[in-house]
Amino acid sequence: MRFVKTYWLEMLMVIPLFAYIIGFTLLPILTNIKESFIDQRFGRRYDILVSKIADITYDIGQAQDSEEQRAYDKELAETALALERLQHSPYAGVSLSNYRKLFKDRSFVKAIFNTLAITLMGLSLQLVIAMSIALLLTRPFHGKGFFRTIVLTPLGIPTIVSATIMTYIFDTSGYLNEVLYKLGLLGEVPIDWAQGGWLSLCMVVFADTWKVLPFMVLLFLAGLEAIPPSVHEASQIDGSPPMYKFFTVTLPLMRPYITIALILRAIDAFRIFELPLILAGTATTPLISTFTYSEYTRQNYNLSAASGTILTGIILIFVFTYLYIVERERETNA
Amino acid sequence: MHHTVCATWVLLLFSLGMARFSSGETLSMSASLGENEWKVMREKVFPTFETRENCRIRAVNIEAGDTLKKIEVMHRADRMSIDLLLLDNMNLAPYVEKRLVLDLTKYQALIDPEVYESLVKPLTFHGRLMFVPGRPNVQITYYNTDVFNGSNSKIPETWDELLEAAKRLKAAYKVGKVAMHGTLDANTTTQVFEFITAAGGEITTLNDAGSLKAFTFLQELYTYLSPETKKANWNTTNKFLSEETIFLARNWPVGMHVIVKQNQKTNIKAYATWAGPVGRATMIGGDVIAITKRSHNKELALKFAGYLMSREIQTLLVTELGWPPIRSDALGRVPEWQQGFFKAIMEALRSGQYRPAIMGWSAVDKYVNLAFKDIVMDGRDVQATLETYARDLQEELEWLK
Amino acid sequence: MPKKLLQPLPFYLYLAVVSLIILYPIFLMFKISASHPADIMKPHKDLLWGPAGITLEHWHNVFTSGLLLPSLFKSLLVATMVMLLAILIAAPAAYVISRLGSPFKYLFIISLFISRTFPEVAIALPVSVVFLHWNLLDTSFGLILAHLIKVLPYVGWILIGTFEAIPLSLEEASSVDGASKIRTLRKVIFPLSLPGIAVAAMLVWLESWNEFTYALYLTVSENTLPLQTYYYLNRGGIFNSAAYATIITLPVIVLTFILQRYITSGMLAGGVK
Repeated sequence: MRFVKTYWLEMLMVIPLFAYIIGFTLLPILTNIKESFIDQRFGRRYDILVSKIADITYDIGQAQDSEEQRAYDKELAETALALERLQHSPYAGVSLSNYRKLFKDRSFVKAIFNTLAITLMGLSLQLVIAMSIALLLTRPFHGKGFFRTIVLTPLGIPTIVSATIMTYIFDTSGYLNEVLYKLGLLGEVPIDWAQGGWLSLCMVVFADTWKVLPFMVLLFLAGLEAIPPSVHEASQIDGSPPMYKFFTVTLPLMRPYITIALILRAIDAFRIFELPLILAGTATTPLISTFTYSEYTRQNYNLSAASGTILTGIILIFVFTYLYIVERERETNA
Repeated sequence: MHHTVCATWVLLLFSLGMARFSSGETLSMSASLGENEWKVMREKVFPTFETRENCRIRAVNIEAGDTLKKIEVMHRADRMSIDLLLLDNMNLAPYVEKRLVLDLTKYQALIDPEVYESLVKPLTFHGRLMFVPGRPNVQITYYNTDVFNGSNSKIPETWDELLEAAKRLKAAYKVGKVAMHGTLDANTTTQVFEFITAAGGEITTLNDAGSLKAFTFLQELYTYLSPETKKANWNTTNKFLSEETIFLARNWPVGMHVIVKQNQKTNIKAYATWAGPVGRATMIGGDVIAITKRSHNKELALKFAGYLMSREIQTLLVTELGWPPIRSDALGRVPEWQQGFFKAIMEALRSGQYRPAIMGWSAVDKYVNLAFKDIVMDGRDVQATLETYARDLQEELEWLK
Repeated sequence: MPKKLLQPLPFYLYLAVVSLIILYPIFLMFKISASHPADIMKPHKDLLWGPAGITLEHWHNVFTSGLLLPSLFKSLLVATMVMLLAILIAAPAAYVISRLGSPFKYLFIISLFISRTFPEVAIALPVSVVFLHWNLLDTSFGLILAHLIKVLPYVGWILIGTFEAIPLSLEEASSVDGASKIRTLRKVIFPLSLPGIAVAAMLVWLESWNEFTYALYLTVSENTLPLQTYYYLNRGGIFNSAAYATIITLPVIVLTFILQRYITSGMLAGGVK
């Protein structure tokens, strides 16, 4: 009680945020995870029957005459019976059938592979490019502010807009093929970027990198600017080549920023959705998130929930493994 | 001072956002239409009705794929804000099964005798009339007149000619120039339905002789198709035709507005379709009219349904939008540039077939697409794959009965 | 910073290439919105501009369609309200968390994380059902609440970093001088954190302005700008959607230009240490 008295203000300040997060994110996630353990066939039928009963009950309340009412009563009895039978069927209760089904599905397994590939390729590419741009931005030069604005611009473009522009670039008769053609790198047959396989993965990685670069550049910039100039001066005195200095001095100091960048980006990269949906389509380049979505549009909510849960699982495993490794290293270095 | 000004602005914006304006009764209707179609609705169709009934029509665009979800959610929360639906006939059974639409058996008289009987028959579920006809729709085959110019190459009228055209174009251009809807969703199912039916098969059976023939043919055809097939749906196909990335493809008539009107292509025309082993087969799509069960304006909605089916409005829809009419006495005259397309549409309708209106259509959709991917795109054995998926489909259909 | 790392010429070349790659897609968007259909609808596209030159017909269509203003208004309203509410809810909480001891802080930050790991599509459905029960479907208010879901963890994350940058010693000094907790907040913390809050606010505004998924689920009749763009995209109205996309992008570019001066260290680092 004394705790509440001293800290009432703090609690008041914190509660709205977490109430919101718990109510509107944690709860739906937990609901979804629960749903994933219900057999899809059972879940669908159960859902239909239960809502039917609720609906008939509503209609009975609104019935205009006794003939209508009798018809509804009959319907209600039939539906209730069907529900009984369903609940005693072998499919009721907790079931792993959705997960089994997913892992047997060739398309889903490919989706897992594609998702991992895109994330890993994307992260490496973005890391290198963002770091190089951030390095460039630490030294003064003419037009620095201008360049900074340019680098930041993709941050604000809505994803659907950037996805659409990318389709115009990566279409078989799109602008990229046109550039390659004019440069003489392409013959009569244009490159089919959306064919699935590595080419499509590269396409998605490129489009994603374009959108996401500003964020990582900013993050690394923050890290680089936090390195006190005394460190630079000290390392400059001993006269070793700049590249060596970069890897032994700058990079280790940047470690926490790189960690954050990687983790934040990984979470979003694993979940990447609108971009591949519009660019590659689900036909040839399935990803876990687009798979989740297409099952959802087919009203296979339980299967979709299972797919979503697997994705969350992958993200959490990645994040915690990475954190663990980083903690371990920090301890051995300390 | 600065703060008060800010606060006032915020308050103003907020209250404006909350305000509602109303006058007389409001009828809410939803449909999945293009901008030019909505324009005609708002300017030519609504006003007469609004004046006659002293009401206001609030029109809302909900894409076909989203409608079931949205209506269901509104229904369950008892917050139905739509009275009348112009519903894509793609998947009507769930609306009946989930008790979302009003039983119209009592209001049969709304349908005039001039309305085509064949359009009304499929709208009966368990002996009760649940929908009334809105407008039939069918895909037509668009072709590039520069390429299919009749002298050295004519438009394919049979499967063999189609295959031959695809082969020829691929050889000439090194890349396929004929496309199908290969996006592995409802678009693909529609085209597969047409092929299976044209071979005498049943899409819900999936492993009968006709289906076998259709899939075998498609497997061979696919190797000569454009790579854009994977991305070609009812929307992007228009782009590919306009850009002349492809020269031949089937698509819905709305394409003519995009390709000819918006993209200003004068070298793209259309004809009905080709014939399979058994004959021509096209799938009848289009919209039907439904009234939501929990509407608060049922009387008005029923009147509007009658209005939409009337001779005047049907004739108007023909003239203004090139929509095929639901009744025999709607003799509208289509604008010059649309005449060729309209002729193709009416002809394609003549070989039109309906999808079976079963509860488990989404299961059919799923397995047809799985089969399409495995057989047509990945080249697996036709018979074995169809056997497996047909069996799985039957099993799932049992569940969804 | 190793100064001898880079020679001027390759340096400027790299800058130029990067700038080109970043800007070209945006240029394409402008271009398509102002091009003749004949120039876009052909197999070999022009990289810079087509022979038929500029046309304003698509812009004319967009402005006279009567659909632009309502969606513009809705997007504006929602984004502004989301910005205000997000800061109101997240800033106080971020302050408290930044002052917490190690285990709790970690816990809070992790939970801010986890809320971002689930696919948005999966959350949007149960959320929209709940919102519907509360009669929030198709209202701006409902959309505001939905955007907050997406935005709050992100803002909390950024603001924790902002508050961490304010040394505890200042607060201690203030309370030694006899100020109450609330007074300290008002006179000391708030002014110092203002730049950080301002940046976070603008980022939130941008996020809401561009948001799409929740709008898709929760809107029936009044589209936001991104939804309207999607509508045209979905129906092959590429010129209209390019125009809408340009309209969406303009405030973004303006705000970004203002923001880039102020986004400095610590902003995005959040709870790095």
